Amino acid sequence: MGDHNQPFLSVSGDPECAPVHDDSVVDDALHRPQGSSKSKLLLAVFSGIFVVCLILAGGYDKSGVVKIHQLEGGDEMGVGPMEMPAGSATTRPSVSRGKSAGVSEKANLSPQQLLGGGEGSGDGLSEDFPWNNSMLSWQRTAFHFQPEKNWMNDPNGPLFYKGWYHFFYQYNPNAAVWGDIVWGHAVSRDLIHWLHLPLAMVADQWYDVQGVWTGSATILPDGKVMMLYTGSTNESVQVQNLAYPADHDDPLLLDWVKHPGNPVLVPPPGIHHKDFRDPTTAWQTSEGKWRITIGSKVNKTGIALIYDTDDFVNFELKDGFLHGVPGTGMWECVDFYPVAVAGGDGLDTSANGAGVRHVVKASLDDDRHDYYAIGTYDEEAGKWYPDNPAIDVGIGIRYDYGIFYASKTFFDQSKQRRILWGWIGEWDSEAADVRKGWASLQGMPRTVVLDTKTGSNLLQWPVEESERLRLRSKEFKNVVAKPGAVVPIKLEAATQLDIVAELELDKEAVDRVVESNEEFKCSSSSKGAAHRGALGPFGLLVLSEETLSEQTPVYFYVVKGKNATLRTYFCADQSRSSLANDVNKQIYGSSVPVLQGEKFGVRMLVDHSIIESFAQGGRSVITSRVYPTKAIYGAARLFLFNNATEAGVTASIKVWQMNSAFIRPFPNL
Amino acid sequence: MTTPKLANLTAAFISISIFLFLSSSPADGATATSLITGTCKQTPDFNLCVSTLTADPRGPKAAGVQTLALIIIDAVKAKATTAYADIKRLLKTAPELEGPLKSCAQQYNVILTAEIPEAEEAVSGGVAKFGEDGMRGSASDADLCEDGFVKVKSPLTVENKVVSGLAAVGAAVIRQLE
Repeated sequence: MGDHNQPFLSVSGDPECAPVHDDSVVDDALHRPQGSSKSKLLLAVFSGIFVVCLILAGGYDKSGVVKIHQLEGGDEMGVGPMEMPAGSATTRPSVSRGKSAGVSEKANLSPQQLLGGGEGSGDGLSEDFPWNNSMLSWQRTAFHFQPEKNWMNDPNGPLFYKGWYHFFYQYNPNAAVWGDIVWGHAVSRDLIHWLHLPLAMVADQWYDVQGVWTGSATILPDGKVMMLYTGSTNESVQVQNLAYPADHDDPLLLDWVKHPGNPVLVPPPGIHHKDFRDPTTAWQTSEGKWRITIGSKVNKTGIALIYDTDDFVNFELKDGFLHGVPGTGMWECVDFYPVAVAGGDGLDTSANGAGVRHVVKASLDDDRHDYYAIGTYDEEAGKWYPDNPAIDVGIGIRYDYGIFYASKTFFDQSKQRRILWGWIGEWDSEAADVRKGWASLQGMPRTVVLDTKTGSNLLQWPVEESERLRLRSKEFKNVVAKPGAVVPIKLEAATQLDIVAELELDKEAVDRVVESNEEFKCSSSSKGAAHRGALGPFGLLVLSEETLSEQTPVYFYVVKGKNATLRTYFCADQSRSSLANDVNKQIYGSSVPVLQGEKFGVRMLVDHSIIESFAQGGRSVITSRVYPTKAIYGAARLFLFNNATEAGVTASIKVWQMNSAFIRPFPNL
Repeated sequence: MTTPKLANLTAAFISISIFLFLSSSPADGATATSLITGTCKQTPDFNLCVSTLTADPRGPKAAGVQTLALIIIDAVKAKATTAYADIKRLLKTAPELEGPLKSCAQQYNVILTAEIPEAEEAVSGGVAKFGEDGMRGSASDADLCEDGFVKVKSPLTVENKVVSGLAAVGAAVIRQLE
């Protein structure tokens, strides 16, 4: 494990010969008083080995030309699932980590596609952008949770306790990349104004010394908190451990005790010791036991294991799995929770019975997206079945069609709602992250309820407390955008915004337009928002520069299909979001149901380098990480645009300037 | 010890050395196991992948892809280490290249202190995707270094290409762990 605080030490020599350059042995030999013959022998030995090393080292370094032709099959150039041109001297491997993020289809994109540099950057300009401190420091958000510095990933153990919302998270105290993971901790009265606390748990036991990984909290009926979490042991085995507050009377839950009998769970037979992590919040069974699920896989089938317990120390593995879906690979951060058929309030994790559906969610390691499905929980059998197997877990609906992973819900008993946290990673280069000294955000917490109008998906919406950040507002009613128009939405500033917009297509044009058999996907055209159809795209240009040299379109695209049925897609296009080349340039999104009588509606939270876009009341959500170089600070602009060829668009837009959440260390601790 | 015995010993030693050299030579196609070739086929540079893996004594004996991934990471570390040493040397001997060389020192420092440790820890721990990130980051930093030489010839082209290419291979090998 690297010690990132150490200044880099100088080269130590050819590793293959390291054991031989043991100066103490040579010195010893040379200084032995017994006579010169023994030392001559030793000298010969070492010279011989030295010669061998020279030969081997020379051969190794010339791994290019000579050796290749002597290899069996040496003419093969490694074509396979990788789309990179193999062996090319001019190949530039992928720069940003957007590889598997942000597309609605599981596409295996080449680096050129990722970077959007189809024409290459061969005009003498550096391919990697010369970020300056002004551009980099602008990227930090004003009202999204992030630690003061360094790397963060999964949300852990969220809960409401004695008047405080608690948030824990995977944190690297040493670097702006993943590693040395411990649990960060923060509290808030309102899920918005967070105060940083000391680390809750560090890697100080053999069973979590290689990482204090993700876990979940369960609040018992008597109010006590049980925290189950994954530890990576000294031998890199994934085990589950129990921890609880040192002082249940401390509302800040500052100190945590690890159960002396840890680990409480080790990988069961048939489960690989590196495929066993992220225990859920427990829920009660009708027998009065507590039940948890842990994600794993068997070959390529992602599964959720089930365990019952009375005491969070002794567990019984139930036969079979809660559920599994072939081909989905490892299920990380599994979540399991009830939702009310009637919508409205959230439900306690143990709720069951009539009027309740159950959601199973998994983070797919293979494509770094979060998927969920709605179905029926058979408590007795310990099984769950999807309502629609065609859109089962991992092959159907995603929480978010942008960057959003390792998400976790909790039941907020104070306001009777289920709240969703999600890790928002970076879409720039690791080099930029190290340079700016931090990486990752958490999404704005969202309430989650069943969409009662469709019955087949969830609705997500920023928690109502987000509205406390709203400052001055400006309203733009009935703004008309003719086909091809770009209309400035004049604001005092455009980097911290809450936007609510309702848009309508010209009805007469919609009726008039002929049916199209266009098979549309947000990602199908490399032109993104510049790909024009009769009825779309139309929407907003966010974090855009005055001359549109940088722009991030978030938009609807409508297709009139067979029998005059309209299909709507909700997309984000980052291909022109930044002049920099080392950031994500993808175009992504999904279809979104728009019901009879509904206008096209979107709410967007713009907070420097993050944009969260909620369409149709949260039926489809896209989170984007954007890194403009010019459309920053006072130069950022907002526009309404309509690239449809046949229909005009009328929009009513309300925009609030958003305050900072002043996230900072807890005072006087 | 008498001279003839010394001569015998030396002869024996040279024979052993030659034997060792031949049996561990990367040119020996028989040590490119099916695991190595199968894994390397799914990387952007099959030859670089195979030669690197077979050059390491762990390679032909590797039971799984994780070991192969760790070997590649080690190879990237070795190449980056020498590149960093060269950069330091060039900063003294080629002051006219100070600008881009300083950037390169920065980039290779990130590779060695952040990205490679990330990859090692992630692959050992079984959370491969962060290992991929570390390797992609290393490749990109090597590219950044190379691209810094805009109007002048880069003295580090070969090294940058090797680090970049090897790291890309590393990312592709790690991908197969997911």
